Formats: sequence, structure tokens, C-alpha cells
Amino acid sequence: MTAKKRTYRILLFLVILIMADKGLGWYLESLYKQNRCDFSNGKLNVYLDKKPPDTLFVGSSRVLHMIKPEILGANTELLAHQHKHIYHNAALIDILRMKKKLPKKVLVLHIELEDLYMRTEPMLLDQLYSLKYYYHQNPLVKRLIDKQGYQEPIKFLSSVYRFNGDGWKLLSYPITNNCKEVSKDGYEALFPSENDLKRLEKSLVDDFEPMQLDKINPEFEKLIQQVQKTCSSNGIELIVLRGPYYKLHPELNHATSLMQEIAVRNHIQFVNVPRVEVSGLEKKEFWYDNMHLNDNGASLYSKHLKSIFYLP
Amino acid sequence: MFYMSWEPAYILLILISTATDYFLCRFLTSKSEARKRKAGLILNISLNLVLLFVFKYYNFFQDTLDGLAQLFGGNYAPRYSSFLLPVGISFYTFQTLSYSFDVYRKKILPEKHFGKFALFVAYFPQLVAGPIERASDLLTQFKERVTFKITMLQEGAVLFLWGLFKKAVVADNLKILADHVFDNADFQNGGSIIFALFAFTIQIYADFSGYSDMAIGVSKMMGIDLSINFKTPYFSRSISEFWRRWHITLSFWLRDYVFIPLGGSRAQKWKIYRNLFLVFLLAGIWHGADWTFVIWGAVHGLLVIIERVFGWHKSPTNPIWNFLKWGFTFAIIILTMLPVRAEDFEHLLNLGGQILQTNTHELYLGFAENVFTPGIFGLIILFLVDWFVAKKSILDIRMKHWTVQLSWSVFIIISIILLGDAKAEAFFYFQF
Repeated sequence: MTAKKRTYRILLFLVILIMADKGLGWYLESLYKQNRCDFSNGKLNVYLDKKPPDTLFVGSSRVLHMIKPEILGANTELLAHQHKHIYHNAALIDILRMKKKLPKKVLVLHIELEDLYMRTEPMLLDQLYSLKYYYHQNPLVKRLIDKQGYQEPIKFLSSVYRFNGDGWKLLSYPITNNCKEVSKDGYEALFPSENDLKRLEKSLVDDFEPMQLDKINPEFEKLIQQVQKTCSSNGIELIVLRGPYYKLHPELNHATSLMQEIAVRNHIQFVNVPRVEVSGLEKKEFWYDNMHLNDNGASLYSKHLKSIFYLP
Repeated sequence: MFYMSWEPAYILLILISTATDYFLCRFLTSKSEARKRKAGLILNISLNLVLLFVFKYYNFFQDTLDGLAQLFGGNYAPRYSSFLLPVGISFYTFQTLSYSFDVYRKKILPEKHFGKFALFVAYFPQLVAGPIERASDLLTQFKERVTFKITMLQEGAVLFLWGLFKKAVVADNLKILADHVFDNADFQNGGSIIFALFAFTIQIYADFSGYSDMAIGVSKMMGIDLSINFKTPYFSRSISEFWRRWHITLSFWLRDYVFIPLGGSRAQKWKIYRNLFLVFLLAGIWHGADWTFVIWGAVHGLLVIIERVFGWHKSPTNPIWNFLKWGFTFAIIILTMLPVRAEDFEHLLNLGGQILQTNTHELYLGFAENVFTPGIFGLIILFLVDWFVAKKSILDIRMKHWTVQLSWSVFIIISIILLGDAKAEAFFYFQF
């Protein structure tokens, strides 16, 4: 084969590869924007369609399954995702700012205490992958994803990569029509079941392995400051919340006081709700596992929050 | 540099192993007396095995002593070492041992050039997870001048991409699925444990053979051919055949350096069975320092012996019988993956108990939904390619016509970008 022919084939390969990537990327983007189901950020799209609420809770599954907006007030909503902590949630709040969809009056940011430590950073960075679509649109998303390593900007040269992990569902939805609807106020109940007690007992063993918490992650405070700045420049009250555990890991006791120091230093309201403050939660029947309340427990906890928050 | 990127201090280990083999093999060839040659070989093997024992098996040994003491009512306080398991130690130790044996048996001459020998030990594509190469195959290639050809790059890249597809699309997606079930085994019933075992069986194959393909592909790009390590093992019709098609370089290593020296197939029948059992025990313990791996090796050893006793290791000619034998063998392979996946003996017992459970069923795939269909999609592609490969030669994976090659490569690249797990899980076999 001549060198000319070989060069032609290599060029042809590159052209087809780029065309396939751009074409599929364009198609996936149109599906992504239309998506209102509970996958591939359909939950965020549903939220962005609506008028912003007065009060918004942002957080992990410990918000998603534990806080009932109907108890807290008519104009309260959750924007919470399973396994999503501070990096994801700070970036999500920045996307809301960018889209002019911040809540009107109060933003409650739920935090996990282990996120204060460097040890959890790889996990926090992994969680940002679900916001890949906003990589080229939001500087905070880009900065945090780029922390993963030098290879990240290279991956985003591909248009399709923004949909990595979600692509199959986006492509199959028009055919299967398999759509789990997003709940109106963002709450998803964990209904009590006979397995709750067994699960709680198991998590009381599993969750109590040594955490080996190391040095403090400065990014945590930086992100809290950024959220605080966003809120104050938009006239919104920020409350940082930490919800109850059935039993707190002993290594996290110190983290509570560290968080209080951060709150004082940055003039932020920090509300810590240990289990003992909420009457009734000492009973195991209200728990799904060590970290999550079931639907009955969520009612008790939400009533308690209503009594201390005085939300609009 | 490649090895140091993981744990810089452990470069010393590889250096010690390299220098020991290099100098002791040169020493034993310089001696004509059998006694001195043997002493040189024994010293060399001992030094290599001591390193392997200290870094891989020491804590297992302590646990076993502790267990024995408890069994007999005694008291033993285990003293654990805090060493991390050096990546690929089992692979390069076996590679250097084969070199020593071959030099001792005068099959090859000892390498004079230290740099080339060091390259043989630490050749980066296959250093951490094989294939386990022989000096007669790999070292000789380092002495030849390689003339770069674009076809080397082309063929290597196609193989590399296929390996990456297996790893990122098939193995990593199925891993999330399988882990989710195994990590919550208490809430699963027999059906979901077996489903997860199936996912794990495919995961481990896609993971390990994916690495081998990538290693062979990268090496091919540089003009060096590595040995084939897998020949569609899940199409085997007996456990004996499975071991001729799975991790071939380890199986052949054990055959040439353990089974044959023990007497091979020419000894008395009971001796053959004993030797087979020992070889499989060794294969099990090679994989991991835990009783679960010993059990895995022992079970496979017993199965191979049973096949030999009843003559079931021979391939039948009847297609229906052939199909049934394949199904039976594959089912056994899946079930015997349980000790490989179990974290320890206690977890193995727990999983074994859950297989018999029929009532509690909470196969909550939750966040694993996103990986289920890509994993199954990858599995179908993997099955089709393996089917194609099983029917022809493995080298036919580089398809003949350039347009097919081009479309295939575009398809594979886009699939990896869209469906691959972006979190890049570590290779399963790195722990060995």
C-alpha cells in the first residue's frame, strides 16, 4: 500500500470518528434537554422548568428521603440526589445561579461531616460526573472535574463524553418509554418494611469501620464560602444543615465542632440536629438504616425542622 | 518509572529480584559440578520465594497460625506486617523463576546484558498482570532490531481498543452490578446471588482478558509479540479444557515447571491425580493469600481429577451432548467463582448460605440501573466476538478488509466513550 493511500485512510478514519462523535453528541444533547424523567438530570430539568420556590433544600439521600416539604410549608421543595455531597451540591447551586433559578428566600444546604476531610475527596470528585453536561457551561463544574487529573479536559474533547453513564438510558427512552416520574416537591419516601431493622443492625456494623480521617480538605470551606457569596449577592438566607444519624461514628464527633468553627468564621447559620434532639427517633422502627429515616421517621424529623426553622 | 508510579520504594523489590536472578543464573552456568549448579538454583528460588512470602503470604500465615491455635484451644497473638501487596509480584516472580529453571536445564543461555534482562523482568505492558512470558519468547525479541511498520500500530491499536472495551464497558459496568448484590448479600436470595455470580464471572473474564489484550496490543505497537493468554475459555466443554484456554501462560507454567517435574502424565494413575491436585492447589494459592483461593484451587483440582477418572475431559462428537457439556461446564465455572469473589472465608459461608435463601428478595438495583443495560450490551458484543474468534484463529480479530476495520474501530471508540465507566476501576488481577 502506498503512503498516500495510507494517509488517506487515516484521515478518513479521523473524519468519520469526529462526525460520529459530533452527530451522536448533538442527538444526545437534544434528548438530554427534553428529558423530564428521573434519570440523566431529568430532575434538574423539571426544577428548571418551574418558578423557583421560596425555600429549597439541596443535599444527598439524607434530604431526598428524610425531609418532607409538605410538612415544612407550601412553597418548599427539595433538589436532592442519592450519593451526592458537597462538591456536587455546590456545583448544582452554581448552575441554579447561572440559570437564575435560585430559591426566593431560603437555601438549606445539607452537608455530610466526613466531607470535611481529604480522604473523601476522590469520592466527592466522582460524584461530579453526573454534572458532566455542564462542563463547558459552568466554570465551577469544570474546575472541580479537572481536579480529577490532567486527562479530564482531553476526555471532554468528545461531544459524546458529556453523556457518558447516561447515554444508554437517553437513547433507549424514546423506544422503551420507561420513565419514572420526578416527584413534585422532590421527596421520595422510604416506606417502612420488615427489612428495616435487619438493615439498621447491619449498617451499625458496616458504617463503623475505622474511617481514618486525615487532614482537613480546604476545598470544603471554599465551596461553602462560594455558596454563601452566591446567596448573599442574591438576597437569599443560607442555612447549613446536618441531619441525624441513628448512631454517629465516633471519629465524626470532632467534625461537628470543626464545622461550627467554619460557620462562625464565615458568619453562616449552621444547624446541627443530633438524634437526641428529635423526640421519638431513639426508636429503631423509624430508621431505614443508620443514616436514613424511613417515611414515618421523616415525618417526625420534618416536624422538628419546621419548629426550629420558622420558614416563610 | 512505570512501576515506581504506584509505590516508589517497591522498585527495590524488582531490582533485588532482577539482580538475584541475573547473577545467580550466570553463576550456575559457570559451574560444571551438578552440586554447585543445584545449590545456585535452590538459592535463587529461595530468595524469590522469600520475597513473595514476606510481601504476599505473611499475614495469611499469621491468620492461619491464629486459627490453628484457636482450634486447639491455644493462644497466639498474630503479628501482622504493614507491607502493601506489591502490584504484579506473583507475575514477575513466576516469570523470573521460569528463566532460572530454563537456564538450569540448559534450555537457554543466561543473558549477558543486564539491561536487556531487567527489561525482560520489568517489561511494562505485561509487568503487573501478565501474560507470564518465557525468556525464550520475550528476551530473544529484545535482541532483534525492530523496523517500525504502520501495520504494527494498526493491529496493536485494534487489539488495544478491544481490550479497553472489554474492561471499561463490560467489566466495569458488570462490576457495579455484582458488587451491589454481594455487598448487600444479607438482603438477597439465591436467584440474585446467582445472577450476581454470573455477572462477576463475565466481569472477571472481561477484566483480565481485556488487560491481556491491551498488553498484547501495546506491545505489538512496539513490534514485540506477547503470548496469547485467553482462548474463549467460557466456550469450554470441560474444566480441563477451561484451564487450557484460561490464563494460558499460568497453566502452561504450572504444567512445565511443576506437573511435569513431579512425573507428568507418565506416572502411576494415583500419582497423576495427586500431582494434578497439587498443581491446582498451587494455582489457587498463587491467585490470593486466603483460604477462599485454596478452596477454589482444590475444587477445580478435584473436578479435573473426576473428569480424568470418568474420561469426561474428552470432547464429544455429538452436537447435542457437546452443547449440554458446555452448559454444565459453564454452570460449574459460575458456581466455583463464589470463593474468588468472597472477601474471606466468613463472607464465603455467608454467600453460600444466601444461595439457599428463597424468601427474602430485595434485588434493589437502584443506582445500578444505569449500568445494567450497557453491561448487557457489552456482554452481547463480547459473546459475538468470542464466538467469531472461537470459530477461527484469534488473530482474525483484526478483520481483513480496511473498511470493516475502520467501522469497527469507530464503533468501539464511541461505545467506550459513551458506555465505559468513567471512574476507571482497578483491574481485578492487580491484587494478585
